[in-house]
Amino acid sequence: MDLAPHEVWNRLLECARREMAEHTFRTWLEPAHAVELRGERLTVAVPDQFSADWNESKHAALLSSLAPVALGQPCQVEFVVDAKSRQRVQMDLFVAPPTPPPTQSGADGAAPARRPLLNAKYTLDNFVIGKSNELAASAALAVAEAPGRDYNPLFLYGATGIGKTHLMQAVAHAILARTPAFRAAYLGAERFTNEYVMSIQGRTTHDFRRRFRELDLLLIDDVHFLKGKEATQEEFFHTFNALYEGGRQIILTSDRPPSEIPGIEARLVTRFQWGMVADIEFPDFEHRIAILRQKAQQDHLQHTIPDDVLNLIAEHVRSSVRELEGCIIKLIAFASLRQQPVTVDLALEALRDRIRPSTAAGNGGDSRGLTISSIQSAVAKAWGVSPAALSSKSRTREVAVPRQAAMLLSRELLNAHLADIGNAFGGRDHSTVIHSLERARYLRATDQEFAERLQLAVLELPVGAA
Amino acid sequence: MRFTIAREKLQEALTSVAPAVPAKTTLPVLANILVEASERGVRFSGTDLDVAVTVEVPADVEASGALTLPAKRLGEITRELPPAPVKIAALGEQRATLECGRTKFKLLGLPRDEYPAFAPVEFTTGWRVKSSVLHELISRTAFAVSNEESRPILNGVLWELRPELLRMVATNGHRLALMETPVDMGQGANGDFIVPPRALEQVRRIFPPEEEVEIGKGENHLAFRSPIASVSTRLIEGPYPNYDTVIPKDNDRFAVVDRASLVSALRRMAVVASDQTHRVKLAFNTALLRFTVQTPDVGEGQDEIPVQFTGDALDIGFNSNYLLEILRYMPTDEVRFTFKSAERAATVLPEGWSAAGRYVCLVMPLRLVD
Repeated sequence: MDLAPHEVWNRLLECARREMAEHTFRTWLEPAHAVELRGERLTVAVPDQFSADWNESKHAALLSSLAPVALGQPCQVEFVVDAKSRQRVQMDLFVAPPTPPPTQSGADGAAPARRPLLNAKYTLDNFVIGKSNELAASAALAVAEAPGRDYNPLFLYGATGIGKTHLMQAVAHAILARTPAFRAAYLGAERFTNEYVMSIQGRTTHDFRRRFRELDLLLIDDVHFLKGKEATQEEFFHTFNALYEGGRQIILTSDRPPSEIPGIEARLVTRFQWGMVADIEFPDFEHRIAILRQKAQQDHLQHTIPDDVLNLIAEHVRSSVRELEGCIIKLIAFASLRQQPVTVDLALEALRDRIRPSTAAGNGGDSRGLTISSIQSAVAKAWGVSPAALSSKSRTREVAVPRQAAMLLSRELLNAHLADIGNAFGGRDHSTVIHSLERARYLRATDQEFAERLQLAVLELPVGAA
Repeated sequence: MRFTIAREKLQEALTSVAPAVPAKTTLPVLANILVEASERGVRFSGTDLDVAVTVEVPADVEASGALTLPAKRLGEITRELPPAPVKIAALGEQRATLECGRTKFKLLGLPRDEYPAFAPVEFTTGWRVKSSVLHELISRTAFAVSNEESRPILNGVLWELRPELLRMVATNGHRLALMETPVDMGQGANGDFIVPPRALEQVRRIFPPEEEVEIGKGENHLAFRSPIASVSTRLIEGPYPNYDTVIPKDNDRFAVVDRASLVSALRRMAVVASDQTHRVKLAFNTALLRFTVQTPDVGEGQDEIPVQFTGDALDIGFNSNYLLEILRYMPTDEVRFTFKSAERAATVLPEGWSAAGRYVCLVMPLRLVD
């Protein structure tokens, strides 16, 4: 499965929320977070031992039973005490201290040639090249051929779930396959920051520096996370220089080009631009089809997926490659569960959450033209504010309440993504949207006037929307 | 609704209820106080939906009725009124006049119907306890609750009610306070409740020590009442962690120390301790307790006080705030510490405490090396 642990966990949580009392959910499951996904085993961290025990005995079975529906495949959930709470300086009554790390036997104490944590699936063979990523792919191939020579650093940028990490790790795989002794490290910028901070606390900055400055290949994912972290940027700057001057290869990814990352020092930005800056865009339709074919072939030879189903998915799922792949996994799981061949009807049923009603009923159902902006104007009318105000920065009550109402309708009627809603309302963060939705639901339940206006707004919507 | 009330009585009632009114609320009516007049007198209530407080005061009621009035304004007005009887009368569903001598106000409120109903609580348990017993249990334990959102269960005080005793336990995982007092609650008395500390704070404020308090329970609520006041609260759901297993039974090093000198030494040391960990190192030796603080970027401090210590010498680190808090609630001049090692929980006990019952605090050490 190609989902990150936290994505798996979030999906399970979404289902669990419906199954259990709100209070129980908040007390026991909400504070937990996913740490690792190994095969069909999801490890979830909680603050202390009694939460772990209680969740294990009361909720683990339920969560596992929800997995086939939520994920399209079985998944065992286990609860452990968060490693961070074990390591805190302040010891805890309900957290056992960390077991001392096994003292390294002097066998090969010389060079800790640790294998980087690479995903075995992220190889160049599995990477489908299309128009949207051919520049990035050819640069990556060149780097894999001759690391540290032409394109150093290689800077890949693009939206989430589109293949940056895949391409980056593919380069490492290719190089390591040829030269296993290559010292490579792959880590997210956030982990780089954390390890740096820990090295400061533990007064081991010296080891930290040695570890990173003696590499042959450094892969840093999501480098925009360095934003505003000045000390880490400083450290990274020196690491970068040390590697660069030694002719070692550096590969970086980000969600935007170097010059547009806010809160990154200029001297780092210019360094990022020294080598090759390549963007990866959303795959076009044909490219999406090719990706789906590859995914279907790679994972599930026993099921053939007819072309019209691939077309359906490629047409409707446009946000990311990760979501495309998720669709195939879910579809196959659904088909095996039902023991039915894959057909368009089955796909529509299995993927009803992805292929949204507003876009799915391509055969005529959605002529009503319900969009976030039509909802915005209806709500604005019902509350007597201007539609533009809903996307403005203003947070006065007059505007905030209808804005929350419009968000609620967008979510419930269009099943729109939180991020999309946030964007449509003046670029708000998805967590702001979550909060707004909660507020609006609460108001609907408690405030008669709000509920009535909301109803009024629904009536204003294009016919058939309600 | 129309009634006349002594200014002092009105002010007393409002001061009792006001703390239950939330400062910020999403439901406008919660910023109001519910005023209900009947032949028995006038009742004032405030709630934030979790905790509710009601007090009843005598008044000369001409016409019964009810409405809600803004808590903050009503309080401010009352505070400034001259010492004369106050006449309050409703004008329709959501307005009222207030007259006192030559002072007159018209206040805008909200209709009574908009005020949320309190959760039903039945006083059929027959549990009664003297308020002073609750006061002591609350004040000696509630300080130890957690305010971390990630551990909601620890945000409440565990209250265990047994036929022969009452016990309260609170912890944030780093320190714990447990107190139990023998009380005859009657056969069959049995209940474990996780109570938000805010509710207990109201109990302590509302009921004078000598008053007898009756305890009632609803499905997920608990209530305390006297003839003239009541406090009810939503309970925190869930199992409370088994606190008994974390209370050390085999600690074998003991220290008895003067509470006041320990407090002043800790406070001095805390000045140069780290803002994050507040770490102070305590080195126990046969007759001397030595304090050391070393904080990079700040400086160092050292201090010594006499101690009676038995067992092998011990170096142990603590968050000075945790120790100071525990010491503040210790009822005796001398306190006894017990230790096992620098990585295990220490206990703090009131040395030579004469009261029947049991009071024990736990504190987990800070690691001395990061």
